[in-house]
Amino acid sequence: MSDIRVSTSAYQQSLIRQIATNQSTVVDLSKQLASRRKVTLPEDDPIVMARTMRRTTEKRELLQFNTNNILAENLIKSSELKLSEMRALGDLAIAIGESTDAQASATERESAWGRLNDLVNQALDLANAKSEDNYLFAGTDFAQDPYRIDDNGTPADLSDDFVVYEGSPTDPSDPNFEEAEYYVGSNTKIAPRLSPQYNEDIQSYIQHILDLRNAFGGPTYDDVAVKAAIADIETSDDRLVVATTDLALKQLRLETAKKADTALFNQLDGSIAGEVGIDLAEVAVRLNQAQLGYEAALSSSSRILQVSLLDYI
Amino acid sequence: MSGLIGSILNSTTALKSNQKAVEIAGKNLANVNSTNYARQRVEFGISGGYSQTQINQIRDTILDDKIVREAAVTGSLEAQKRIYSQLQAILGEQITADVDSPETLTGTTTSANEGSGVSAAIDRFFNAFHSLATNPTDASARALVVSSAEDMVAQFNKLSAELVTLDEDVVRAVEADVTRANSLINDIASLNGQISKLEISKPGSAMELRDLRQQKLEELAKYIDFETHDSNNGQVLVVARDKSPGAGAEVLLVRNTMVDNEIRFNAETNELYFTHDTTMPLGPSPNLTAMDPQGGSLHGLLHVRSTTDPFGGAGASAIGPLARMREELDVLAREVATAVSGIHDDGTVPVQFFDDDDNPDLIDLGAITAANIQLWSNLTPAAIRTSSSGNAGANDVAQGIAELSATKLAGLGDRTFSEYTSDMAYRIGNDVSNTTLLIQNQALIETQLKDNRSSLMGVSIDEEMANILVYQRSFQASARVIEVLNTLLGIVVDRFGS
Repeated sequence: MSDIRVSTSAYQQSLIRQIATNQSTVVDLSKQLASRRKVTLPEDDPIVMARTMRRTTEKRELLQFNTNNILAENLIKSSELKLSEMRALGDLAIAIGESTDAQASATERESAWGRLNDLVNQALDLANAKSEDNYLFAGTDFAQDPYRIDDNGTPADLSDDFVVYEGSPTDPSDPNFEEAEYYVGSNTKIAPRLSPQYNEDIQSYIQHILDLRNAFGGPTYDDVAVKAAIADIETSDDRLVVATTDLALKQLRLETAKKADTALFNQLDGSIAGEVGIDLAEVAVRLNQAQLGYEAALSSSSRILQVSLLDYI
Repeated sequence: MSGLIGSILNSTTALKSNQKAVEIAGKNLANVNSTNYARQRVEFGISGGYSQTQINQIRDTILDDKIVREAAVTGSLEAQKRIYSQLQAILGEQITADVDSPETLTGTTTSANEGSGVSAAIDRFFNAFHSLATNPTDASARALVVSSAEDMVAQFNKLSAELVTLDEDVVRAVEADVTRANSLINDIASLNGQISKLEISKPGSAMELRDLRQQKLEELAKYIDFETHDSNNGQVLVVARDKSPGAGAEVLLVRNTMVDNEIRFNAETNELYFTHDTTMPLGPSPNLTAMDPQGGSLHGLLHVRSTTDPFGGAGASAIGPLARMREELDVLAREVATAVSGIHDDGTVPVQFFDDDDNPDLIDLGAITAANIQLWSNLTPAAIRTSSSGNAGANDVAQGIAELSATKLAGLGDRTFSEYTSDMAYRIGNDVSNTTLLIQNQALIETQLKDNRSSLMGVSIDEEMANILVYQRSFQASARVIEVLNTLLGIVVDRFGS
């Protein structure tokens, strides 16, 4: 058996290296325990870092989409409320029309005209309602009130008044037709405003209330005109129900998107925590072991280094 | 047979030999912690029946050469790692989230929108457009777009400036290392001279000077790789290689006592040159031969700055990480500007988003870099174009820009902005971690070699103390012999002298 000669400095250096290695392990594990992360910088795990960056971008986007979702929901709820109020005005108009019949006196017909005229103005206010300073039922054109009454060039003669829509185009085949869509979820893009084609139905609805009003404007009771206007209001009301359903479907998509995104967000968070985070118990145990090793290295080294042949001669 | 007087003289020689041996053991003990000290050993020979001493140095030139070569490899890796770590810090990508506290989509506090680095700035910029798309008339959403764009541009400018500063730091580090290497080259030539003078009559006798020269050679290897060849009278030749095809031709740095060539650095060409005349003005002069370092800190630093593939191959992977990151940032800035402007700008001067200079009338998107990217000087929140129809509620332009965040762009190698920035972080992280791993492996190799060398030439206190005891006893024995001889001589003188 051949003996390996060990120089004093190599011996000392070897002990010091052992101490340094143990110390480095203790420091690394302490850092992990303090931050509760095993990856902080790209060098810690480049692949995990790159994946975490991409997941964080996704999380940021989901947060933004969630904010968009909330704004869209507010817009849809406001639109639904205004449509509902508008339909209530239509019901009131029909009730006025049906209660004022051929037996009504001229004063009663005039009163009916006045109340219906007020309902027309209220309906116009609802149709021109705004949310966050933007019209609800104008499509994308906010330059002027989307609905107004045109006097047909005869201001004094109210009987030929008609309702005008001046928002953005309502016909999807129109080259200028547009809707303002945006993301409300990672895979969901909607235009939360009422689809523009229903804006024409709002115009018709108000027009029919106006027609009912005009039916009471003549010198005598016009049974045919009143009944026709009431029937038209009822038909238009059906269209507003469809418009409300359009909004409800959008609302449903918002909720579905939010649910999906909540699950996705939690999944991303969990994935990041799984790859970046530490197992607290495991690291604590490893740190304890490393500390024991470090102390043992210090203790044994100091004892060994104190002794040499000098102590015995 | 020698007489009593002769015996006394011979014993005196033994006395001196043991005295010398104790002295050498003392010298060994005094150098127990000197890294490059090779222990000396007294060889007791026999001449005329009595011991004669010869002092030898325990040194293995093969191990010495290996250690020099490995020191060059370590020097290069350590220099690279220093710069890679700084690049990583400059890029600023790090995970700061408390992963122990799960965030929620609807939670009021979340760290996801925080975050440092250019990737977070780009995310915030595109998310501001997502926000603007929900309400193009919202003044605060428009202001957010401008402020997030300003933040992103500032990030690009800051990163670019920091990379320029780092490049300047690397140049200064190369210059400092060249100065130090040249100083060591001169030291080695000077030590060659001193060794040859001392060893003319007694080869191998200038042991401390040889130790010192070995130390200088190992120090020089930290800066540049080289080879040594033995020359006459204990001198060494130090040679490095030029860029000749193949392994390169040898060019002398040290020729015995002369410095044949020093090293010069040209920051513009990022090359090291051999030069006789250190006063010669620098420049890509045809009179200077370019070096081809393969090790040492100078190799590492030059590689970091390299803008071309040092191995003659194609591909960005061989380009130095510093140059690569500068290029990647420029591409990123240019792609953000080009992609956004491609949707936002309508081709008329009044509607622009990004610019490469302060002249609002002259826009060259192709000239945009991370250093010069800026917002078009006339851009205000109100001037942001959100739709092609011009309707206040329309958002196709804002939405189109927002959707760029998830679009794979050809200019980014068919990657999204997020994929591109995460790849940047991956590459520099990989550089740091790979280099760290290589340094750790290299440390093992060096430790092994140094342990081997130390087991051969290192001093052991225990061994030297034991030797001292032996030499002490031998000395005492020789002294006793002299004493006895002296007694005998006294008897002879006393009895026969009177």
